[in-house]
Amino acid sequence: MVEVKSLSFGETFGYKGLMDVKSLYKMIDKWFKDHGYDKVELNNYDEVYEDGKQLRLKLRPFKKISDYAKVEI
Amino acid sequence: MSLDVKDITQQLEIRYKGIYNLDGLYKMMRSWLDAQRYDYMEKRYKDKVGGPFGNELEIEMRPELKVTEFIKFHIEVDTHMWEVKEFEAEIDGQKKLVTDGRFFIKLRCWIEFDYQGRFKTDFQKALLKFMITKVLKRYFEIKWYDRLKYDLYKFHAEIKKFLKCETEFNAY
Repeated sequence: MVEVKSLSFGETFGYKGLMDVKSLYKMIDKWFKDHGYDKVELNNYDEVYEDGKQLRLKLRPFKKISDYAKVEI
Repeated sequence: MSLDVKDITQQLEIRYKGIYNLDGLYKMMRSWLDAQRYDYMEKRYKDKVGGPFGNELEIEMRPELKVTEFIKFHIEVDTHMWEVKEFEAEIDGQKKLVTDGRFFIKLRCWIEFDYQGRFKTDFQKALLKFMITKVLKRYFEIKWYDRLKYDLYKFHAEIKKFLKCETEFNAY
Protein backbone atom coordinates (compact mmCIF):
# COMPACT_ATOMS: atom_id res chain seq x y z
CA MET A 1 0.00 0.00 0.00
CA VAL A 2 1.09 3.55 -0.65
CA GLU A 3 2.41 5.47 2.32
CA VAL A 4 2.10 9.25 2.25
CA LYS A 5 3.98 11.53 4.57
CA SER A 6 2.95 15.19 4.64
CA LEU A 7 5.79 17.55 5.35
CA SER A 8 3.86 20.80 5.23
CA PHE A 9 0.22 21.57 5.87
CA GLY A 10 -1.81 24.20 4.02
CA GLU A 11 0.72 27.00 3.67
CA THR A 12 -1.13 29.99 2.25
CA PHE A 13 -0.13 33.22 0.62
CA GLY A 14 -2.56 36.07 0.10
CA TYR A 15 -2.30 39.16 -2.05
CA LYS A 16 -4.69 41.89 -3.11
CA GLY A 17 -3.87 44.52 -5.69
CA LEU A 18 -2.42 44.90 -9.14
CA MET A 19 -0.74 41.84 -10.57
CA ASP A 20 0.28 40.18 -13.80
CA VAL A 21 -1.34 36.74 -13.68
CA LYS A 22 0.28 35.57 -16.92
CA SER A 23 3.78 36.28 -15.63
CA LEU A 24 2.99 34.72 -12.26
CA TYR A 25 1.81 31.51 -13.91
CA LYS A 26 4.79 31.54 -16.26
CA MET A 27 7.16 31.90 -13.33
CA ILE A 28 5.51 29.03 -11.40
CA ASP A 29 5.49 26.72 -14.44
CA LYS A 30 9.08 27.53 -15.29
CA TRP A 31 10.26 27.12 -11.71
CA PHE A 32 8.84 23.62 -11.51
CA LYS A 33 10.36 22.70 -14.85
CA ASP A 34 13.77 24.06 -13.88
CA HIS A 35 13.68 22.08 -10.64
CA GLY A 36 12.90 18.81 -12.42
CA TYR A 37 9.24 18.48 -11.53
CA ASP A 38 6.75 16.81 -13.84
CA LYS A 39 3.75 18.93 -14.67
CA VAL A 40 0.31 17.97 -13.41
CA GLU A 41 -2.41 20.53 -13.83
CA LEU A 42 -5.48 18.89 -12.44
CA ASN A 43 -7.95 21.69 -12.81
CA ASN A 44 -8.16 25.01 -14.59
CA TYR A 45 -11.38 26.90 -13.99
CA ASP A 46 -11.94 30.22 -15.77
CA GLU A 47 -15.01 32.33 -15.20
CA VAL A 48 -15.25 35.38 -17.43
CA TYR A 49 -17.43 38.29 -16.39
CA GLU A 50 -18.00 41.70 -17.88
CA ASP A 51 -15.80 43.36 -15.28
CA GLY A 52 -13.11 40.72 -14.89
CA LYS A 53 -12.21 37.08 -14.49
CA GLN A 54 -12.17 34.55 -11.74
CA LEU A 55 -9.53 31.86 -11.99
CA ARG A 56 -9.05 28.66 -10.01
CA LEU A 57 -6.10 26.44 -10.62
CA LYS A 58 -4.98 23.15 -9.09
CA LEU A 59 -1.38 22.18 -9.74
CA ARG A 60 0.16 18.98 -8.40
CA PRO A 61 3.72 18.85 -9.77
CA PHE A 62 5.77 15.86 -8.66
CA LYS A 63 9.29 14.53 -8.87
CA LYS A 64 10.35 10.89 -8.77
CA ILE A 65 13.32 10.56 -6.45
CA SER A 66 13.70 6.80 -6.80
CA ASP A 67 11.69 3.79 -7.99
CA TYR A 68 9.93 3.80 -4.62
CA ALA A 69 9.44 7.42 -3.67
CA LYS A 70 8.19 10.65 -5.20
CA VAL A 71 7.67 14.13 -3.86
CA GLU A 72 4.60 16.18 -4.70
CA ILE A 73 3.80 19.82 -4.14
CA MET B 1 -4.82 -8.76 -27.59
CA SER B 2 -2.96 -5.53 -27.02
CA LEU B 3 -1.47 -4.21 -23.80
CA ASP B 4 -2.64 -0.82 -22.56
CA VAL B 5 -0.69 1.47 -20.25
CA LYS B 6 -3.02 4.05 -18.77
CA ASP B 7 -1.17 5.68 -15.87
CA ILE B 8 0.90 8.07 -17.97
CA THR B 9 -0.51 11.24 -16.51
CA GLN B 10 -3.51 12.31 -14.50
CA GLN B 11 -6.64 13.64 -16.13
CA LEU B 12 -6.42 17.32 -17.03
CA GLU B 13 -9.48 19.46 -16.79
CA ILE B 14 -10.39 22.87 -18.16
CA ARG B 15 -13.56 24.52 -16.96
CA TYR B 16 -14.79 27.73 -18.49
CA LYS B 17 -17.72 30.05 -18.03
CA GLY B 18 -18.40 33.05 -20.21
CA ILE B 19 -18.38 34.02 -23.86
CA TYR B 20 -16.34 31.93 -26.28
CA ASN B 21 -16.22 30.89 -29.92
CA LEU B 22 -17.58 27.35 -30.08
CA ASP B 23 -17.06 26.91 -33.81
CA GLY B 24 -13.50 28.21 -33.58
CA LEU B 25 -12.71 26.02 -30.57
CA TYR B 26 -13.88 22.87 -32.35
CA LYS B 27 -11.97 23.78 -35.51
CA MET B 28 -8.83 24.59 -33.53
CA MET B 29 -8.94 21.24 -31.72
CA ARG B 30 -9.49 19.37 -34.97
CA SER B 31 -6.76 21.19 -36.82
CA TRP B 32 -4.24 20.75 -33.98
CA LEU B 33 -4.86 17.01 -33.94
CA ASP B 34 -4.62 16.86 -37.73
CA ALA B 35 -1.37 18.84 -37.66
CA GLN B 36 0.10 16.34 -35.19
CA ARG B 37 -1.03 13.54 -37.56
CA TYR B 38 -3.55 12.04 -35.18
CA ASP B 39 -6.35 10.02 -36.75
CA TYR B 40 -9.44 11.84 -35.64
CA MET B 41 -12.35 9.83 -34.33
CA GLU B 42 -15.48 11.06 -32.70
CA LYS B 43 -17.17 8.66 -30.32
CA ARG B 44 -20.12 10.87 -29.55
CA TYR B 45 -21.67 14.14 -30.73
CA LYS B 46 -24.79 14.87 -28.77
CA ASP B 47 -26.72 18.10 -29.10
CA LYS B 48 -29.68 18.38 -26.78
CA VAL B 49 -31.92 21.18 -27.97
CA GLY B 50 -34.63 23.01 -26.13
CA GLY B 51 -33.52 23.50 -22.55
CA PRO B 52 -34.78 26.69 -20.86
CA PHE B 53 -31.26 28.13 -20.61
CA GLY B 54 -29.91 26.87 -23.94
CA ASN B 55 -28.60 23.73 -25.60
CA GLU B 56 -26.53 21.02 -24.03
CA LEU B 57 -23.69 19.71 -26.10
CA GLU B 58 -21.50 16.66 -25.56
CA ILE B 59 -18.54 15.82 -27.79
CA GLU B 60 -16.25 12.88 -27.15
CA MET B 61 -13.15 12.76 -29.33
CA ARG B 62 -10.88 9.74 -29.52
CA PRO B 63 -7.87 10.65 -31.67
CA GLU B 64 -5.14 8.06 -32.05
CA LEU B 65 -1.70 8.01 -33.58
CA LYS B 66 0.19 4.97 -34.84
CA VAL B 67 3.72 5.89 -33.82
CA THR B 68 5.38 2.64 -34.81
CA GLU B 69 4.16 -0.80 -35.89
CA PHE B 70 4.01 -1.66 -32.22
CA ILE B 71 2.93 1.51 -30.38
CA LYS B 72 -0.23 3.55 -30.67
CA PHE B 73 -0.96 6.79 -28.80
CA HIS B 74 -4.49 7.51 -27.64
CA ILE B 75 -5.87 10.85 -26.50
CA GLU B 76 -9.32 11.08 -24.99
CA VAL B 77 -11.12 14.42 -25.07
CA ASP B 78 -14.46 14.69 -23.33
CA THR B 79 -16.29 17.97 -23.64
CA HIS B 80 -19.59 18.84 -22.08
CA MET B 81 -21.20 22.20 -22.65
CA TRP B 82 -24.22 23.63 -20.92
CA GLU B 83 -26.43 26.67 -21.58
CA VAL B 84 -25.08 27.00 -25.12
CA LYS B 85 -26.57 30.17 -26.58
CA GLU B 86 -25.27 31.54 -29.83
CA PHE B 87 -25.65 35.19 -30.73
CA GLU B 88 -24.11 37.80 -32.98
CA ALA B 89 -21.70 40.26 -31.47
CA GLU B 90 -19.61 43.05 -32.89
CA ILE B 91 -15.92 42.35 -32.31
CA ASP B 92 -13.36 44.80 -33.73
CA GLY B 93 -16.02 46.32 -35.98
CA GLN B 94 -17.00 42.94 -37.46
CA LYS B 95 -20.12 40.94 -36.73
CA LYS B 96 -19.22 37.51 -35.39
CA LEU B 97 -21.14 34.54 -34.03
CA VAL B 98 -20.18 33.89 -30.42
CA THR B 99 -21.42 31.49 -27.77
CA ASP B 100 -22.30 32.06 -24.16
CA GLY B 101 -22.35 29.26 -21.62
CA ARG B 102 -20.19 27.04 -19.50
CA PHE B 103 -18.26 23.89 -20.27
CA PHE B 104 -15.57 21.50 -19.21
CA ILE B 105 -12.95 19.72 -21.28
CA LYS B 106 -11.33 16.60 -19.84
CA LEU B 107 -8.12 15.31 -21.36
CA ARG B 108 -6.59 11.89 -20.84
CA CYS B 109 -4.03 9.82 -22.68
CA TRP B 110 -2.83 6.24 -22.82
CA ILE B 111 -0.55 4.03 -24.86
CA GLU B 112 -1.49 0.81 -26.59
CA PHE B 113 1.29 -1.70 -27.18
CA ASP B 114 1.06 -4.44 -29.78
CA TYR B 115 -2.07 -3.02 -31.37
CA GLN B 116 -1.69 -5.44 -34.27
CA GLY B 117 -2.04 -8.38 -31.88
CA ARG B 118 1.17 -10.14 -32.81
CA PHE B 119 1.67 -11.53 -29.32
CA LYS B 120 -0.98 -14.25 -29.29
CA THR B 121 -0.30 -17.00 -26.78
CA ASP B 122 -0.49 -16.55 -23.00
CA PHE B 123 3.27 -16.93 -22.72
CA GLN B 124 3.88 -14.27 -25.36
CA LYS B 125 1.46 -11.90 -23.63
CA ALA B 126 3.09 -12.46 -20.25
CA LEU B 127 6.50 -11.88 -21.81
CA LEU B 128 5.27 -8.67 -23.46
CA LYS B 129 3.91 -7.38 -20.17
CA PHE B 130 7.12 -8.28 -18.35
CA MET B 131 9.27 -6.54 -20.95
CA ILE B 132 7.18 -3.38 -21.02
CA THR B 133 6.47 -2.96 -17.32
CA LYS B 134 9.79 -4.25 -15.92
CA VAL B 135 12.75 -4.67 -18.28
CA LEU B 136 12.21 -1.81 -20.72
CA LYS B 137 10.16 0.39 -18.38
CA ARG B 138 12.63 3.28 -18.28
CA TYR B 139 13.20 3.17 -22.05
CA PHE B 140 9.48 3.43 -22.77
CA GLU B 141 8.98 6.07 -20.09
CA ILE B 142 11.65 8.33 -21.51
CA LYS B 143 11.08 7.71 -25.19
CA TRP B 144 7.32 7.32 -25.52
CA TYR B 145 5.38 8.09 -22.33
CA ASP B 146 7.00 11.52 -22.06
CA ARG B 147 6.34 12.27 -25.71
CA LEU B 148 2.64 11.53 -25.35
CA LYS B 149 2.45 13.43 -22.09
CA TYR B 150 4.04 16.51 -23.62
CA ASP B 151 1.73 16.19 -26.63
CA LEU B 152 -1.19 16.28 -24.23
CA TYR B 153 0.18 19.32 -22.42
CA LYS B 154 0.76 21.12 -25.71
CA PHE B 155 -2.83 20.41 -26.67
CA HIS B 156 -3.97 21.59 -23.24
CA ALA B 157 -1.98 24.82 -23.66
CA GLU B 158 -3.38 25.38 -27.16
CA ILE B 159 -6.94 25.14 -25.85
CA LYS B 160 -6.16 27.61 -23.07
CA LYS B 161 -4.49 29.92 -25.57
CA PHE B 162 -7.58 29.87 -27.76
CA LEU B 163 -9.80 30.65 -24.78
CA LYS B 164 -7.43 33.51 -23.89
CA CYS B 165 -6.83 32.07 -20.43
CA GLU B 166 -4.24 33.77 -18.24
CA THR B 167 -2.54 30.40 -17.82
CA GLU B 168 -1.83 29.72 -21.49
CA PHE B 169 1.92 29.39 -20.96
CA ASN B 170 3.49 25.95 -21.13
CA ALA B 171 7.13 25.51 -20.13
CA TYR B 172 7.24 21.81 -20.99
